[in-house]
Amino acid sequence: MASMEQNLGGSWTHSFEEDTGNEQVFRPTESFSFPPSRRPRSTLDFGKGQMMTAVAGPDDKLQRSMAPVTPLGMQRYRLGDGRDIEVVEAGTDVLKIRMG
Amino acid sequence: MKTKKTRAAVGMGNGESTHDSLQLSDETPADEGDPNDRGMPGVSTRNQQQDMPEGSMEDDQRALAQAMPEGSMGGGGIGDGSIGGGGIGGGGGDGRSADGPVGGIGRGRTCGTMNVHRRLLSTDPAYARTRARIENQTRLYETGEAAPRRAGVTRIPVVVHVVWNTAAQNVSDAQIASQIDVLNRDFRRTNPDFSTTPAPFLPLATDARVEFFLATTDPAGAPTNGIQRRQTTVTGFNDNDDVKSNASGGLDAWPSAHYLNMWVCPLSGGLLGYAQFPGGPAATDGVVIQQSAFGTNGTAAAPFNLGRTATHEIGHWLNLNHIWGDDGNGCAGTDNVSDTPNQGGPNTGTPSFPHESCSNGPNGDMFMNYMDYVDDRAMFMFTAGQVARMQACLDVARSTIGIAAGSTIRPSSSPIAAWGPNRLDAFVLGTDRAVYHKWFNGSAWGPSVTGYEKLGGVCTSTPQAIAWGPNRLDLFVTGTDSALYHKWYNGAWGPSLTGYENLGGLCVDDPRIVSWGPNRLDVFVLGTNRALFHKAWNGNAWSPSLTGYENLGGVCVGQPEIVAWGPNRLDIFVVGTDRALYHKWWNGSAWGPSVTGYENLGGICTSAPRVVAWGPNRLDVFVTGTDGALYHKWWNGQAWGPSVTGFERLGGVCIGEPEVVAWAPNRLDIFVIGTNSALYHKWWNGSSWGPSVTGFESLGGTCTSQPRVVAWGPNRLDVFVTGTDSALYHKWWNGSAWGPSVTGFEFMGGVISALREESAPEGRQPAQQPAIEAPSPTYLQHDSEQSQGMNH
Repeated sequence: MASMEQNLGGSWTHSFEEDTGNEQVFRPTESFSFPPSRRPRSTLDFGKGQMMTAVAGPDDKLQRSMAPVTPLGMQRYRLGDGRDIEVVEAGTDVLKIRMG
Repeated sequence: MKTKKTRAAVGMGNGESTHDSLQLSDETPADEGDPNDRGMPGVSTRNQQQDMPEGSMEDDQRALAQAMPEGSMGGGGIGDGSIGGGGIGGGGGDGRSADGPVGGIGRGRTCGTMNVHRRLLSTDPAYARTRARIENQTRLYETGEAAPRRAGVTRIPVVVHVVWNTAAQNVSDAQIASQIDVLNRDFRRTNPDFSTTPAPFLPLATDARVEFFLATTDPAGAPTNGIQRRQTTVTGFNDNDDVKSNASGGLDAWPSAHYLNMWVCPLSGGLLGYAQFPGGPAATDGVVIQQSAFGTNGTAAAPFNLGRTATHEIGHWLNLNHIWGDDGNGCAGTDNVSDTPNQGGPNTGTPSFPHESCSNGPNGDMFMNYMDYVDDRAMFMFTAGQVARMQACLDVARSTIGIAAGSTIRPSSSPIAAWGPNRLDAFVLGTDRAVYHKWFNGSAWGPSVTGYEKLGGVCTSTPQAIAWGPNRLDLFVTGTDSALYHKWYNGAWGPSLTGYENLGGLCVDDPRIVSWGPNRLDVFVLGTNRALFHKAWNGNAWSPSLTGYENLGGVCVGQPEIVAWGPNRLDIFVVGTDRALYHKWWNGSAWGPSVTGYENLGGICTSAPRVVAWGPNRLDVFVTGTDGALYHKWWNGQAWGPSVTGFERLGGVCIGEPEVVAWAPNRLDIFVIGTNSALYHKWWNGSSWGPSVTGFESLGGTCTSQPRVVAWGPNRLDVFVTGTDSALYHKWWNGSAWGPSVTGFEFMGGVISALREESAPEGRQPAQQPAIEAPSPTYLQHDSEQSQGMNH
């Protein structure tokens, strides 16, 4: 089984304009041209068995936090806080997930 | 001064004064290297072209034309109607900065955050204490237990740091100006779209009473347009503050105590901007704005092309929270403001009214508030509670910014002091030579319009007051034993209402005091040998000792003038026995040109100098010449103008000393008394003299004292003089007109024996009975009431 880093490596930023239903769409942070948004975009950054999440803070900066990630198989992962995420699609330019 | 040797520090007038450094008139020290570095007075060669003419009396046509007949000093109205509103509102809130996640992922996770704000709160006790202090003080404003100290409008100097990668991102001066214009509309509720506020919220829309202007003076005191530019190799910054440092491709911050730093740059990830709350590191204090969301023209692009990103971020900079409470989409968060509806998550785009959440019907979310996340054209109001929170921030965490004249002007001592906006304290001597006090608290004169509070003492000098902070006054006089005496106000008078602290010495003329920082006082007096002596309060103790003084040499004629253009900086000006102007300075570590030496600045002065510093490393000096005209010279940070020993002639025939104040950078207002005893005024507006280079505006009256003027805020002047009846009179400039009229004065009562001692004509008879309240014991109880130390 490929490691999580191989599947999901790098930093992904929430392209919320593309969300559908309960699927959240992320695009590569460095290469994708995101339209401006008053609401700061969340990011996901996978690496070394951990995932960094970043969400908008009270000063419009991103608040970043690290959590351990445990592979559950079948493209599902358990986060340190007990939540599961399911990777629906993991391409080079798009990441689609469902939050458990 | 704390680190200086105190060998020369002696008690004054007790026979112990050291005179080894004092040079006599016409003597030239053998080891003198710099011709200006000499004990004064020395014979100097002056520039004949630019020197003050002797005896060339020249009538000021304007002054003659506007001279008022005697007796025109009449009563006037009470107050001036310019008192600003309160703006107290809001309430509730728990003072915490709720900062839960907003996005749909990671909700509820708060541990291990790397956010600067949170990290500092958890790791930096000083930051946590500062934040707690800010929130505690803010709660007092919200509950009405504290009132905003800044009446009227606070004007904040802004520096815009443009950091660009591609030429298109190098936003134009016009685009920057458009952003400043937006801020000045949004923070004054003069934005045209304010009128589209839904009716239920319209009564809450409030003027924040804050204005912004591009800085005119840089931190070194040099003129600036308030715009810094740099090309960078960084194609897109993020929120890690790299843009705020030269070393990481950005531009360093200017001192946040005096400037709002605004960085404009390309931001990656679609980020529009971010801010730093008050209380954080100065090096990163300010707001960052995406260049395409900045201003209203140039690169500004819809839907963020109305300049509201900066309005929103400056809201944070002034301690406003997001209106939904930063708790994701929950209903438990708070923005710490009571007059905004409870709201779920942020709104985006251009919502339709009403939009309900958290059972907040029928009016729903206040999504048109600047602190929501909607598009520029959908946001257009602050509430009264938010304004109270911003004003609390200005009073507490950002207390040094935007204060009169760009926060860098520190008036030296005077009988009139202003420790805050719309506050005046006047100190005079009564016929019993006790000190009497009256004050204006923003709404009324105390103890009454014509009444005075007696502060005791039997004084031989004009009272000199200085305020180093809000609700703080330090008052100095000399007693009948010529010693210096001190009392202070910190909510109550110390050491007692009528008692004084004995600071020793044998003083001639009035003491002069300056404060270059909170709880710092530098006191200068002339000894009986007319040398200059100095002592200082460092927050804990007097140096060189409670009653000791440091000898700074010289033989001075008239009162010294002291100004401080920055922390730990002092500039002293005196007139020597040759009537030339002399200067010495303290640069933070040593006296220049030497401990007892002075720089000769030329001239033949017939008045003591008056000096003001309207910005760092800037000095403007005014004296009268032998022709009675007003003369001016200046230090621009690099050189004296018009030359080291030359002066600019400003006309008039002046009686007594001029008075000068600055209410903004590059602004000067000068007041003199003419030969007809009327008050005259001229000003420098940054580019020219008004009403003309040598002309004066006549303000009427028949004055028996030199004018005393204070500026407690931008474009505000309060002038005090005594009249022929020895009563105190007052007039004011409120930004648009003189009150009570151009030539009228407000009667303030009293029979004043000293507002400026030397100018009181002999044989003057009071025209009316004293209005001073409750004359009681007039004996100065120096010994019995002397403090055992200052309870600062």
